Amino acid sequence: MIGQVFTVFFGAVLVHNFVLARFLGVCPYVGVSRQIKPALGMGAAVVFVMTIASSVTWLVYYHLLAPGQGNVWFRIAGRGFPSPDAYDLTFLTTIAFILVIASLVQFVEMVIQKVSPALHGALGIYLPLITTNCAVLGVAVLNINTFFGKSGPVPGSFWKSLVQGVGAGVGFTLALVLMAGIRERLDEADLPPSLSGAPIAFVTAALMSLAFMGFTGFA
Amino acid sequence: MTPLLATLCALGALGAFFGVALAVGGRLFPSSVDPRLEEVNELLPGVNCGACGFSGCLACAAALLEGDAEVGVCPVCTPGDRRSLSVALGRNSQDDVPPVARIFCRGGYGAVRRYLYEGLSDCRAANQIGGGVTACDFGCLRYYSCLKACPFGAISIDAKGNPVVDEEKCRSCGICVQTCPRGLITLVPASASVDIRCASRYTARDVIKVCSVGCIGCGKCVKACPVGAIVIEENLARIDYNACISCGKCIEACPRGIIEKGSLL
Repeated sequence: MIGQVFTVFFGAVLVHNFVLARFLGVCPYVGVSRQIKPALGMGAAVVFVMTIASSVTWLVYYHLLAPGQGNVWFRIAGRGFPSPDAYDLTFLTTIAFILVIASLVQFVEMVIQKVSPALHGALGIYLPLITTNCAVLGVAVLNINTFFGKSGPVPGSFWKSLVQGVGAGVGFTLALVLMAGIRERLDEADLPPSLSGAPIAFVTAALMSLAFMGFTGFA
Repeated sequence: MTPLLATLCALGALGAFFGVALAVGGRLFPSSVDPRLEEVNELLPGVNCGACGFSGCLACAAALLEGDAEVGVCPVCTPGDRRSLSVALGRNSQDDVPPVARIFCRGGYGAVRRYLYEGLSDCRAANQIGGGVTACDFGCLRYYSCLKACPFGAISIDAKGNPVVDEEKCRSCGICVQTCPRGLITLVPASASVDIRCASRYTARDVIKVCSVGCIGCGKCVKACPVGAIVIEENLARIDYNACISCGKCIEACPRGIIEKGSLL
């Protein structure tokens, strides 16, 4: 079990890196990666949000949407409810997840602002940027696809989802910080003027993506 | 429970839960952002040039509220902006906020004239003959030399014929102060919130003969003022701007309506 969890983590960080292999969250990847310090801040905020989002969305899916033993509508309805499989609300996944993630991020921002103004100063401004980032929704949906089978959740589903969320965030941070480091150097390099800024950033991103392809097959 | 009902309940429950959670969170963790931040930010130019040394106008507004910056830190602000800022921040510092010119007469078209004047359309000329064309020796002659002299076009004529300074445009050059032959224009601190707009030293009887609004020295403002900022000197009320707390009680008390709020408040 612990081996499986480690595999999931390793997979999310390196093998199936959310930015470089799955191409999710590319917008902040190119937008916030000019310097290392803001990149780290953004990465930290993303890890935070992805972890919480993974766990809450898993719970919402298992108890409210997916047919099966955990489904609360089955418990509420009792009689007159043919079987636990009758109420398949999985078609609501996207909208429910968006609702959950957006509200969660708002709530977290409120709490952070009050509890730790220092932390808020460091990563508070990134939180609104992450609210409907496709990488966050992506990790939530991916958790469902990977860790829910035909007959309900796989063993250890919740923890694996959580770890995948953390790993996705860490992988995102890794990609961001690497990119920021490269771009900081590029700022002082002798580039043709037409390539500076976005063009060279995209070329760099492509090369990084190619490099990370070296991990395929490990998990 | 039909599937439709389950759907509605599922989304409704999620929405309601998070709505309540956010509302409760809003109470438990109230925003510690200064509400004046938005107000001060509005008064700044909004160009986000960074010349002030802060990362944009919002950061500058935050620093101004904290007291980490002086009002003069923004070089892009016009003097009018700076005056509005110093009023909004409650600062009276004269170092970085230029004073503003104010004209202390409200006689207007109703001010009685001694004789029919046909000469140069200039206050300094109209003041030379027989003590001046207006019956009130102290009042505005209404040939608007100040308006013509202002290099910034900050002076205009209001509906009642009084020259009025636009405090956003005034650059405190002092040219109008020197131009007015009766010395009716003075440079006052921009934060001066209440003015007594009359310069007449006549007794009440004489004032009423020549002007419909001039100060009669009745002293009601002196009694109304809770901090004793107003005194009567030579039948004219005079306000001490440093002592004034901007309560506005003198404005209500004046029977002539000659006391006015400063234009920025």
